[in-house]
Amino acid sequence: MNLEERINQWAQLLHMHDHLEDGIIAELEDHLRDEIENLVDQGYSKSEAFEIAVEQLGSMTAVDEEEKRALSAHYDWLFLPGLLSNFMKIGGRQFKKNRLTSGINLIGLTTAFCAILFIGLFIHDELSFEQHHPDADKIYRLSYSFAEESGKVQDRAFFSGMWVDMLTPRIPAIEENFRFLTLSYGYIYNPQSDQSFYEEGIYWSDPNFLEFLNFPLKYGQAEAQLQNLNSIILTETTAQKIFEEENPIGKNLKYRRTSHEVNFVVTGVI
Amino acid sequence: MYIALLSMTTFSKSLVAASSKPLILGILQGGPLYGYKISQRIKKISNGKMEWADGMMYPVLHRLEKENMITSKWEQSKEGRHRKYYSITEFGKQALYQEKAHWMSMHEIMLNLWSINPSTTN
Repeated sequence: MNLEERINQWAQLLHMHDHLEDGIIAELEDHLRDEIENLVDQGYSKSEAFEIAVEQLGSMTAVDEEEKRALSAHYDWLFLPGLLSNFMKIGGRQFKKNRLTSGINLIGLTTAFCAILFIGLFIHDELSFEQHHPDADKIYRLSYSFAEESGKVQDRAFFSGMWVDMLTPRIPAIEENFRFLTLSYGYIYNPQSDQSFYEEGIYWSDPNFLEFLNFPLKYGQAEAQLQNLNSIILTETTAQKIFEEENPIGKNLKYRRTSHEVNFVVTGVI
Repeated sequence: MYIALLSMTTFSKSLVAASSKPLILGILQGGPLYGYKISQRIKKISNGKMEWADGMMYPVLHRLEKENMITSKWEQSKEGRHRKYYSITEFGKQALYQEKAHWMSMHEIMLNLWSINPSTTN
């Protein structure tokens, strides 16, 4: 191994020390080279000169210790924001120094942060549903699960409406009940403008819909809602789509799906 | 015999540590220098009595820089090597003045002590 290789190897080993940054290592290496040149001039061989110069520099563990003490001496917290870029630089160097460990740490940390983020988002999403209803904590939805012959259990989010008449007199905790049933999709026809609109999310509902659930009325009288079998309440966006800027209260609509046709009168907009 | 003993004397670690600050500041007062030259100067003026591991000087330089007594600047040598030159600051000069005063009064105290009672010289 020639002198240059030995010096490089020696400098590489200095990186093993925690507090020896590139700066001090460059200084120490420069010092070593100067000393070697000096010794060679005095008549030593390159190899001898290297040994002596390294010896004279002393224990690098001690230098590392001393450098740690020198660098950690009295931090002035006021200067910390100004030092941030320096900290980032040192962090980067430490990362390069221990690539594998730092890499594993980084991957672990990233995974953990992502997991926390997803769990947090999921919980936030789950807890955010239907919270605007005044008695949200008292409203329950009846559902059922059943076992197939094969033993496979299936869950259903709906329930027979007749159960309400069965359960209400038997369970005193039930203060009020309310049923609704999805009609899923269909066409809403506006005879005035002779236009049809494909709609999803159409529901049959008991008249006490607005007492149960908090949807402030934009148009219409609260008492008049759903009193007749053919009353219909529209959401604001649907009302705007069908009637544009007109007040839709009292207007006629037709629900059409295959051969079915039902007449409705708009009594409210939510 | 006495002279031989004296020239062989090396200072204790704590004394070297205590004197490193005025030594380095004093040397830098003569102008900017890089690490190797500073250590050469120290060896020369102490006639080799200051025996310290050369590497240990760098943390001391960094500490002094952190305490704003010296500043540093990287420069390139003729051979293309990067060298960090240190120079003394105004604050460093004041600190050196203080150090001088302390060391001189300590020197005076010791002289007084030993001239009054010669038996303490051994």
